[in-house]
Amino acid sequence: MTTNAEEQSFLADRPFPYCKGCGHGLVARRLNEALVRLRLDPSQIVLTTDIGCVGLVDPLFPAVHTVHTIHGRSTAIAAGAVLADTLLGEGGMKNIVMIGDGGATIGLLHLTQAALMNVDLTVLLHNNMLYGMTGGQHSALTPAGFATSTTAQGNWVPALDMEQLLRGCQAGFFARQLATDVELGDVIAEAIAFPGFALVEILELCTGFGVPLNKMDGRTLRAMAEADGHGLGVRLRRDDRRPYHDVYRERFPAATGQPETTPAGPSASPVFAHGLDRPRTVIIAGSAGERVQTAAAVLCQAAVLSRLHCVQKNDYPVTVGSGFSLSEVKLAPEPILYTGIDAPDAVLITSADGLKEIRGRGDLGRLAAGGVVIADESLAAELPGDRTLSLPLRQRLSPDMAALGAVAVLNERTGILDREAIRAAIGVFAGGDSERLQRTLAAAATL
Amino acid sequence: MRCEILHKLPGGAQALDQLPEIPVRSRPLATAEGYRPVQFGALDEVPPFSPVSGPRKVTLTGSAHNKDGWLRKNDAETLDVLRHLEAKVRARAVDMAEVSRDLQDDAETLVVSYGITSRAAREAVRLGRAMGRRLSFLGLLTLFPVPADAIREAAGTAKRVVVAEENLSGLYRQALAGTLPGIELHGVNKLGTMIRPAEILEVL
Repeated sequence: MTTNAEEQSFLADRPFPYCKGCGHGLVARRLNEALVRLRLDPSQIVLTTDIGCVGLVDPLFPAVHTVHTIHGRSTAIAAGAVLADTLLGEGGMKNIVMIGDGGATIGLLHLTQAALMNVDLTVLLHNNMLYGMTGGQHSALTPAGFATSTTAQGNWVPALDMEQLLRGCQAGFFARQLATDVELGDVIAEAIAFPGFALVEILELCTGFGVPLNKMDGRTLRAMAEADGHGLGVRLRRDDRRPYHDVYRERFPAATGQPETTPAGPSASPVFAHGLDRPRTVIIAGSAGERVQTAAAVLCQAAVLSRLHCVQKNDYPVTVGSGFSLSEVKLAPEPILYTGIDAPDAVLITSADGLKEIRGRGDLGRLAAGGVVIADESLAAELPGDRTLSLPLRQRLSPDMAALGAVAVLNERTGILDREAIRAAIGVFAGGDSERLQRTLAAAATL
Repeated sequence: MRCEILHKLPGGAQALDQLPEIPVRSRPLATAEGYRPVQFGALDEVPPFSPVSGPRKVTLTGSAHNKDGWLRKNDAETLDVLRHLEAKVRARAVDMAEVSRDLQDDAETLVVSYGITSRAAREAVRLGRAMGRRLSFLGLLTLFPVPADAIREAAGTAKRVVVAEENLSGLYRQALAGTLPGIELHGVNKLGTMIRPAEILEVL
């Protein structure tokens, strides 16, 4: 092996660890040809290998860094290494992923995400159409009709078309070759030199399982690919996409990758007085999309501006945008240990969805001594009259401002916080919508 | 579906940058010929390393491997590496244990908890002490290797250990069984909602 600029080979002078006739050995030789042709510095190359027989390549390239990963994750790990090198390091490393069709199946979303991001790496997909190391089971790339140990009568599920998948990801480079193709070295070199995500699908046969189960050779493999419409050669090359790190650097010019919007440091903010001498708990319940959680967040932000401790916990059905929306808020002058609410001091209900959830949880039965309920007037008939303050929250303030209005009313009645703290919290929290929220506070004071 | 919200003071993100730096022991660079990426010596020695993009091949692997980092199944050197890794974890078990302590001399009961339930457990201990009980609290920030030494030390003279954990059968309590000879082991378990301080108090 020689590895300087005039090298003839990156390969070690040692026997290959693969089965006799396995295409992996051919791929290793073609990869070596590509590396020699590109005259790359071996110390600037990382081979990232997946689980499977492809992972045996480490000792064959003794001057090249190698990372052997867990099953299916090689592309994700390589993508992370590339981004670290290009965004945080000096750049210049070439990362080449060697993965089988089994690993590609397991880690398919890692492949597609790297392609979508256009991470500057090269994937050599060794597609022998089954999981070879683990016993010849079929993968998502096993063609219809192909026999494996788990599809003994022939697979009847069509194979994933990697080319079409990557076209859908707007990948920059895709090629497909047989391991026996003499041009494979050139294609791999072109893929490595391509500035962005590049994948070469290499069709080969597993001599341990694929050949005995299917009575195939190189000619029938080529015929099968053609019959499936899987054309060979460089099938896709588009140079209109820039690699991810290039775009990232433009969007975030600081070399460390820190967004420009990072706060410069603590800013002076007023500290508001409060009337809290013990922990207080509030449950706010309404309908999804009616800004229940925003109201709770404003209350908490106001508490923070008053140097109180607070906890906010949101709850909703599995789907966040339907049914009820509920927030639990706990405010305290001392650090809060237990974040749950055993006996709420106040329950604010702004819709029928919210009331249904409050009933299901049994919150009204757990109301603290002296606790209050503030509810929209439409719910009055269903709530205990002696402890409920019914107000036209939805009608006067609009449904999506009802929760914030209820918070404002609660604060006015209890004096927990300075009302200016709530105004300031809206300024911190609500962004461009703050004027409408401020108007809601004023309107709530007239209810 | 639940999520918790973090409210921050203006400039609060800056505080994250002020976290203490983790000290890194000096790591010698590989210089000698014959460097092997997974070579090791005594358990307390830091072996030499070589950076990726440096002049020596770096090999990382998640599979069983020999001292070159090459995938191997069960040859003698690979088994040697595996034994070394296990011994390293065992030797560092005490250093790897992270716990928070709120102990009382002559406590009658030690409350052990982890995760979100540890907050309720601390509150239960606070309430119990207010009622005149002698109670200690140990919060576990690392669960495995089981910090048995730290738990025994925290138990002191206590004859009871109560493990509060939010699962159905007391998974961690089962892991502790056998590590606390002479001590009664009790559990507080719950599924579906948070364990309340009052529910822990009932067992104390």
